[in-house]
Formats: sequence, structure tokens, C-alpha cells
Amino acid sequence: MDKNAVVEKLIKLLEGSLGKSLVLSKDSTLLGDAGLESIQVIEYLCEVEDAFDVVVDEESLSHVSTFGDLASVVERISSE
Amino acid sequence: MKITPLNSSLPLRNASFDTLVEALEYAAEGETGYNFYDGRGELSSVLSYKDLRLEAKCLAKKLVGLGLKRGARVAIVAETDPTFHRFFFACQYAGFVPVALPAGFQIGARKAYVEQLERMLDTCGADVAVAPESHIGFLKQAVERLDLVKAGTSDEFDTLHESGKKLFPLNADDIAYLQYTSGSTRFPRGVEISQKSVMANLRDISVHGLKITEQDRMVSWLPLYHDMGLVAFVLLPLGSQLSADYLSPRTFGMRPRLWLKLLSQNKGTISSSPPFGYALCAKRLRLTDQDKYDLSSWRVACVGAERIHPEPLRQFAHVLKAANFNPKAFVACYGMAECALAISFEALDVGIKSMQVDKDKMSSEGLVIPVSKVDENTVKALTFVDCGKVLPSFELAIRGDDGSDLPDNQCGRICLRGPSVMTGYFQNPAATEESLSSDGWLDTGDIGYRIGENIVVTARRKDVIIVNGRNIWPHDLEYLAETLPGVRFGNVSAFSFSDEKGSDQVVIVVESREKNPAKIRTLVSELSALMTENFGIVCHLDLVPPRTLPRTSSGKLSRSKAKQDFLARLELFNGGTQVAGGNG
Repeated sequence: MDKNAVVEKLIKLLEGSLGKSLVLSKDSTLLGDAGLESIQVIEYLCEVEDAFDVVVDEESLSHVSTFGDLASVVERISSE
Repeated sequence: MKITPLNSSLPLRNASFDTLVEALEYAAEGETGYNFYDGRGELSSVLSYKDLRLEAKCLAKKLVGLGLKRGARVAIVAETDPTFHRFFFACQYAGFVPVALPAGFQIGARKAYVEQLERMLDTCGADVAVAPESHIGFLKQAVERLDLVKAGTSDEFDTLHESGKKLFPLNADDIAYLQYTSGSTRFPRGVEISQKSVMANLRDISVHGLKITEQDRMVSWLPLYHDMGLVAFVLLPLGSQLSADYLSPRTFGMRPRLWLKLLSQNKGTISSSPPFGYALCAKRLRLTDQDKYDLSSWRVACVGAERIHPEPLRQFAHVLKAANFNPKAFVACYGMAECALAISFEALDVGIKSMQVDKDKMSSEGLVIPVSKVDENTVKALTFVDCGKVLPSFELAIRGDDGSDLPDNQCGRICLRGPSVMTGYFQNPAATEESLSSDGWLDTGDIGYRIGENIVVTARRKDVIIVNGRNIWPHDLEYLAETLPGVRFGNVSAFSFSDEKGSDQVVIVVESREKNPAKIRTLVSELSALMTENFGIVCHLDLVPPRTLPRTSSGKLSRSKAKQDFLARLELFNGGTQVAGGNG
């Protein structure tokens, strides 16, 4: 899967869990642009881990700001 | 790997020890201990009290070998992991003071988290700091500008040589630990709890609050850097020789149903959560899941740490009825780190007792006038939950603004005295003097009323904002808003109100000269993004003209008045729709 496809899947997942369509891109931030609260981020992360079958560690998460960042982390961990 | 059993094989002692070391020495003669479960709910490690004693003593000798002075602070990034327990008790044996540091952080907020760790390490004057592998990167960055003897992972400490010197454990008059739960992220304050204080509180909780027996088993997902996580689920099971099973807070946030699974499979009897945890669990539960669990063993489900609203609890009990959850297992409780942990518990096997009181009488005169079912439609009512009887070693007083003791059913400041009260805020005499009188009375800053020896809390901690069990201090939000160009220093007021569903809503009122609607929109969205990125919360932003925010006679902003004004504007805007308030 290329990075754009991962980003697309990440956004689809979020749309699914929030039950609404969102105008987001790889440069949108999870907290600012998507407007998620911290507890929602944790819930969303659970869906991401299940959908991609990965476990995202704290260190990697601490560098994540945008959906593009999250896609890179997911890609890296799944290729390890 | 096998979990530690329910029975310790020892005669039960309800925390009747002088120190934590004595408590561990006794528990280590039995079979019980701590069990850790991973992100998928699988058992990942087991630490019996027997092994803990052995490992803590060995680690204590290594720490002593570093040449630290007695009472030196050892900071532990408190991930839910045996590292925490080993270091916490190594300190007890070595005569050092453990300090738990938060292991949770906001996604992407690396800088803010590292700064928070640095401030905490600095204010407690830590000589040594340890973090699990998952958090070592943050810790190493946080200590760069500090002068620590050693900071590393647990493995790095294991390579140290054991000192040949005799160990001198902390004794009854020493500090047992420092607890950072109180105070803001910018000005963290460490609560100083002595061995005597914590042991007195553990005894009270074990004997009177929870009436612990050999048949109890504890289950928890609460963070170990939080007083409820540390005292109730690390120290209490140890003091009462019970086994405890852990999930990490992150695991709970991601997969709350694992909490129920663990309680069900290990037949847990005692587990606690702030109200939001029960609500989250109920929300994420599938109806088809219910018969997967058997929660009939769960006899005490404590609810505390934030204002309790009965509705989400009713919902939790309703969806888990088929799983044999007993609604009478709910036990409302009240406590704070400044009293080690617990102050009051509702009686067991009663459930949540709520009452409706006249809103106007309470906000104008602080008077508690019950509203009967008949009056419900004509009188605006507030709902409060009885937090039960004050534990026997406390003296309770409800004080008015002039310091006089108030009678039953009258709101005032909740004040307490007793052996579990902290000795003070660590190396912070100004803050200590503000809340602790020379004759030992602690002014909790919380507002409430008494009915005999029972406490009802109506508003927590002056201005503190509580979102999903997390304390957020308004001046941290105000400070952040003021960093934005176009916002002036001292022109921001942050507070929260409780909406009709009982959730806390955060409001930030900002004075601005801006009149251009496009620029106003930009400012609002910038402010909003700033708050979510730094605190992970969604705020209501209210831009008002200059000199709108109410000030006291000394020129200081009045948050409570600002809140009243905001609620009045909101009520006007909503065409008189009532906003449930009462949080201050």
C-alpha cells in the first residue's frame, strides 16, 4: 500500500467511527483539524491498530501530528 | 506464567503496620501479588509480593551504591509495569523518596510532555530517574538540562553493583512518597505523604471503607501516578495481602471492554473508576457482549475523582444487567492526594444515593433545600450524590467564608483534620500555608455540605476543570491563550460548566478589540486549535469586547463572576433554556 492509500484508509476509518464525512488531507492534524479530543484519539488509535494489525508505541506517537505522520508510522511498523 | 492466587495463605491483616516495608515483609510470606496484562488483555508479567521483596531489596542496594543521601528523590515514570513497583519499594528499603511521574501524554505533544517531566523532576529535586523502555526517550530529553546522578531504564540500573552497606528502610516518621496530582502542569506541587499518613488511610479504607476480607481481589486500569491508582491499587492490596490485576490506562482507553473481561475471568471483587470510565465502557459495549461477562463477584465499584452524576452510572448498570452487575456495588467516594487518598465512602451494598436540591437557594444562599418529586417541574433543581460517611480518623468541618463552622445542609468549604492529612507541599511553604493551618486543619478548597457525618461535594477545588477524569487548571489554559498574537495578557478567563448531560464543558472568554468578522473567525479557530493540540480538549470560545470580563476590587479577574456572566449570555442565547450548572 502506498502512503496516499494509507492516508485515505486512515481518514475513511475516522469517518466511519464518527459517522460523518470529513474534509481532511495528509496535512490535516488529528487534534486541530479533525477536532478530536484526547479520549477520541485513543479510541481512534484502537481502530487503526486493529485495521492495520499493528501496535503503535508511545515514542512513535509523540511525533505524530498529521494524518500523513500517522500513515508513515503505520507503514514503518507494518514493514518491520 | 500463572497469576497470583486469591488467597495469600496468611491471616488477614488490614494494613495494621507502621510502614510500607513492614507491610511488604508480611505480605511476602504469602502467595499473593500483582499481575500485569498487555494491550490485548493477555497476561504479560507476574510479580508476587515474595519476588517484589527480593527484587526491591536487591535494587535498593544498587541505588545505595550511587551514594545518594537519605531522603533523596527517585522519580519513576509510572507506566503500568513491574518497574514501577520494584523502584517504589526499592526506595522504601533504601531510605529514598519515590515520586511517580505521569506516563500518559497527548498525541504529538512531545515537547509539552518533556517540559512537564522536566518541571516535575526539577521541583522535586530528583537525583535519580527511571523510565520503562517505552518512555526512556522522553526522560532522557527531560534530564538534559538537569543535574541528575543517574537517569535510565530499569535494565541500566540492573547493571549497577550492589552496595555492601546495611539497608536502613524508611521509618514511620519518614516521608513515604511524593504525589503529583495537585497543581497545574506549569506549577506542579508535590504532596508530601508520610508513612504514618498513608498507613492510617490504608487502615481506614481496608477496615471501614471497603471492609476487605481474604475473599477480595482487586482489578484496576487507573494510572499509577494518580492517587487512586497508587494508593488504592498498589498500596492497599499490599497492605491487605490481596492480589491485584492491572491493565494500563491506555489499554483501557482503547479497549475498555478488557476491564470487564478481566474482572469477569479473575473474579475481581473491587475495582474503581472516575465516572467517565463507566460511561466510556457503557458506550463501547455491544449488546451481544453482555453474556460474555459474569460480573457477579464485583462487590465494590467505587466512583470518585470527579463530580458524580448518577445517569451514566445507571446506564452502565443497565447495559450490564445481563452480565450480573449489581447496581448496589456502586460506592460513591470522596478523596484527594492531600489526604493520601480517601476521605469518605458511601455505605456498602447501598448503591448511588442522589438528591435533588433547589438550585436558586443553593446559588444565592448556599442553602440545601430538597426538592420533592412534586416540585420537580416548577423549581430548578440540581442533583448531587451523597459521598458517604467520613472515615473515622478524620474530623470534618464545613466552614463559611468567615471561617465559622456551618451546620448541616449549608454549603461551605470542606475542611479536614486527621492522621492521613499530608505534612505539606514539598519545599513549597507558601502553598502549604495556604491550605494547611498550624493546628492541622486542611482546607480542601472543595465546596460541599454535610448531613451528619456524611459529605456531599457540590464543587471541586475552587476553579479546577475536570475533563474525563483529568484535572486541568484554568490558568494553564489562560496562559496558553495569551501566547497568541492579538490576545493580551490578563484578558482571558477560563472555566467550566456542567451541561444538561452532566459533562464538563470548557469555556474560554477572551477580550478582543477585533471588529472584523473574518479576523474574529481566524482568531477563534486559532485559539481552538491551540487548545486541542495542547490539552486535547474542545473548548467553547467566547470573544467579548474589552473591559467585559469582571474584575475584583484589586483588579484581578474573577472566574466565578465571568462564568455567571457567560451562563447568563448562554441562557439568553438559548431563549431561556436552562443550563445545568452548580459547579461553583
